[in-house]
Order: sequence, then C-alpha cells, then structure tokens
Amino acid sequence: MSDATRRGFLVFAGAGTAAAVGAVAVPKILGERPVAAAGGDELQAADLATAESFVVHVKDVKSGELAILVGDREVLLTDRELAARLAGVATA
Amino acid sequence: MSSHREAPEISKDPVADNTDVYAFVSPDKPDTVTLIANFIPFQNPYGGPNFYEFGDDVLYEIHISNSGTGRADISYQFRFHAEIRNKKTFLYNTGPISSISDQTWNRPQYYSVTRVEHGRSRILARNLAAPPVNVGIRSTPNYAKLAGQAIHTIGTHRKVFAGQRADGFFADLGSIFDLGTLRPFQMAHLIPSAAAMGVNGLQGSNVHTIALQVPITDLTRDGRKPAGVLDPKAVIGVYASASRRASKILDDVRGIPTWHGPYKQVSRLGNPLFNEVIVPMAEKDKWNSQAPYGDKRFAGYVTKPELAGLLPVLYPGVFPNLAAYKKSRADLAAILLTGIPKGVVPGFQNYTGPVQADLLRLNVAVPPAKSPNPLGLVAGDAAGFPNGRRVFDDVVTVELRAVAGLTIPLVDPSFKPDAASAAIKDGTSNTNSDYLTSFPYLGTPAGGYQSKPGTPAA
Repeated sequence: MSDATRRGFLVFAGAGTAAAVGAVAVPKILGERPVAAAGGDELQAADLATAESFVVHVKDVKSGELAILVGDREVLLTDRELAARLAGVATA
Repeated sequence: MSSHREAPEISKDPVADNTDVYAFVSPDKPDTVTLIANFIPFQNPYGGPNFYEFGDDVLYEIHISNSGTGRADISYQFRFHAEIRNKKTFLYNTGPISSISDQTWNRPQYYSVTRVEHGRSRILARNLAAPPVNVGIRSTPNYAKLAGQAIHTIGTHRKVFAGQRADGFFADLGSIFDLGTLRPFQMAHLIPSAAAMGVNGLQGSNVHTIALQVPITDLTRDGRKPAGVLDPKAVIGVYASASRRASKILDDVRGIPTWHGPYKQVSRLGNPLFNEVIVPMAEKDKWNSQAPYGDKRFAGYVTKPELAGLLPVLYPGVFPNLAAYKKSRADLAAILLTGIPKGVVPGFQNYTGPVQADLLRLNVAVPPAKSPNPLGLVAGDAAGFPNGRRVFDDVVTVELRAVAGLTIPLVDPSFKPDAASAAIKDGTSNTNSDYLTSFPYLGTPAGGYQSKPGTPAA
C-alpha cells in the first residue's frame, strides 16, 4: 500500500465508516436497503453487524465494484465513492 | 499426470489437487456404480511427522451430469475436520493404532457426506472416520484391516471411504516430461538412445482417495435402471472438483487463518490428462476454475491437439499419415467432449448430447467385463475407458494411441493410421500395491517404515 492510499485508508477508517476487515457502520456500506447476494438471497445490515468478521474486496476502484465476503456468502455492490475513499483517491 | 500437478497454481496447493477420477460399474456389485476421486499427489510414505490428510478448508466434490447440459445435476460433497487428541505431544501417534477409534492416534480426521440434487442438499452421513496413514509396522500394524474399518455403509446399499491409498495411476513421468520420450521407442526419438523398459514414476507414491459406491438408480436421470446400452438415459457424465473459500486472511493475533466468502473451484478433473496435455499452460489455471459446461472455449485445443503435432517432430518419419492429417479431430472431440454417439462403435454409445464438456462419461448399462482389457474400448472392452474409467485402465497408452491417430477412422474412414499408432506406449504398468477386487478397489498404501527412498541419478 502506498503512503497516499494508506493515508486515505486511515482517514477513512478513522471516520468510523468502514474498514476492510472488521466491524463497520453497516448502513454506510449497504445503505438502508438490503443488497441482493450472488446466490439470490438478500444480505441485511444485521448480517454484517452480527458477523465476527467480514471482508470487503474492492474489485475495481475505478468503477466502484465491491464484494462483501461474509460467512459463506459473497455480495456484490457498486459504490464508486466508497471505493475511491478506501483507495485514497478523489472521485471523478 | 494424469492430473498430478497439472497446472501452475494447483501444483502449489497439493491438498486440493485432484489427481485422478474413476467411474465404473462395480464388478462385484453390478447394480452399483463406484466413483473415485484422488487428491494430494506424490505422497512420500514416510512424510511425517505431520502426515498427509484431507484439507479441513477444502470442499471436495464428485459431480454427476445426467441431463445432457454438462452441468452438475447431482453433487456429493465431502467436508473434513481433523482433531488433536493430545495437545502436548508432537507425535502423530502415541502408540500402535489397531483400530480407527484408538486414542493412540493423535490426529484423527472425520468427514460428512452431503448429496446435492438440483440445489437441494441432504446430509447423508456425519462424523465418519477416515483412517490414519500407513505409518509403519509398529504404528499401524495390519494396515489393510485398519483401513477396512474406515469403509462406512450409508443406509443399506451405499458405501463410502476416504483415506490414503496406493496411487493406482502409472506413467513414465521422468521420460515423458523429458521431451516426450517413450523409452520403448526412444531409438526413434529425435534425440535417440537404446530402447528400454518404462519406469513407473508413481511407484511408491500414495494418494488420498474419496470413494463412493451407490446404486445405479441414484445417478440416472429418471432414477431407473436404463433399458439398454443404447438408451440415452444410460449415460452419466462424471467429474470431481476441489474448492476453497474466496478469501483467506492471515491474522497474526489469532495465529490461525480466517476464511470468508463462498467456495471457489480451484481444481477439477473429468477425463484423465485433459488439462495436463490438451490445455495450454497459460489457460490451465482458468480451466481449473471453470465448470465443464463452458468447455466449448477449450474445444479448439481438442480438435487440433498440440501433442498430435509434436509426435511427428519428436519421432521423425514414424507418423507420416498423422503429420499429413489437417482435418479437425472429431474423434477426440467425441471421446473427450460429447461422448461417442451410437453408430460409431457397434452396439455402444456414451453420448451426452451436443454440449461440449470434459466429463468422464459412463454408460451404466454396459456390464462389467468378464475378462477386462486395460486398453478398454479401443481393445473391444466396452466396460473400460473411455466408457468411464476403471482403476487398472491404461489411460496413458489409450490416449497416446488416440492422439496418434488410431481413433480417427471411427469418424473418418478414409484415414489410414500409421502403424506406430497401434503400438506406441510408455511401457509402464502398476508397480504399487495390487488393486483390490472389492471396494475401494485401490491398493493398500505404501508404509512409511517399509518404503525405501528412490535412487537419485544425475
């Protein structure tokens, strides 16, 4: 991780909105609505809040494509702003 | 070989490396099919103190495609968990292990079996014991009896075994990987030397086997015994896979990895040697991650196989007819990707439809052979490869001869195979423990104490 992205990540995580692994303010990632998982079921905010840990994979910083890996599920969502903030870059 | 270390990524992950798949009508129980998937290649019998075991973090599966779609209609899933009985010793066993429940075995492993059919899961069995490995005459005396205790019955007609076995696959690895040398014919090689006997590169190696024996009616499309060999519902496609969770986090606080996300396939195997010698190195890892129903994208490597182009170069003047043959290899496409339609081999078919998929296709209506021929269908024994695969089938010779052009006349009668195509072989046979005549059919694994290191030469 470059200094620039590390700084961006730390600022972002310090704001209490998200970390790549661990507890997060769930609505900031999922929004207020449930997100459809790849398997067709829905991921609720509580699914993340009650998980011991989970992983957010930024699949494509530019397009904001994210994957949340929690338990044995993978949920895809698009959030360009969140991806950009994690990467420590400004959105276009 | 046949899929041992066959792709760059999986060669670094032996616990998930699927080495061979077998599927055959059980010779001693012809109302059943035996399905076998082997993993963890090239096991040194004395590779302790942390001997080989299945991965607790790997999902092992044997799949059946019976609908002609190339997709898995039925999957048997195997999930393992190991335990440590005595946390204060480094020893694998603290005394002789005479029974799979002995407390002297410090690292027992258990597994569950789940059947998934069209998305619906049913756990068939839990906490089944795998046997220990064959450590030696003091630690695991009477290993055959010990392993026999790990053959479990599920219900009344189904059997399962998961544990170490002698590798039943045989091939001259040292020779073949040295510029395609076949020792019995190396006098004709581009870089010649005197002809010699083949050397089984798997000699002394063990593998970990998952074997399942189920009624034929568990696997067919309509749950019935087929009416006859030409009944389209008589054919099943088989492949095995290993999958790992999408994410592994190494946590230096917890000291153990944590896993997140769904399982992702990292290894698969249907026909022997498909990924090994058909798929180019640059695409092997991708192939391992894909399901068979998408294999159309790899069909070009089957219909114009690299090996068929190499044989005339490596053996100058030996394969002139093969060298001159420029048509698409429809024979190999049938054998490996769709199955052989009826009308090609009189009274036989193992066609699953036009969907191109690397599946080991078994016509379950073909009864076991009374006098099996390891060369299978090309030698007139329709109960053998490529109609399924038995543990003793000489798949290296069969595939060598097929690639060399022996099977082209099945689809193109105008082609005259080179004389060598009916003779080439690597000259090996099984030199590990004898195959068994009953489930799980693969022989007793080599013991650590009993085995001696190989003979290095430079």
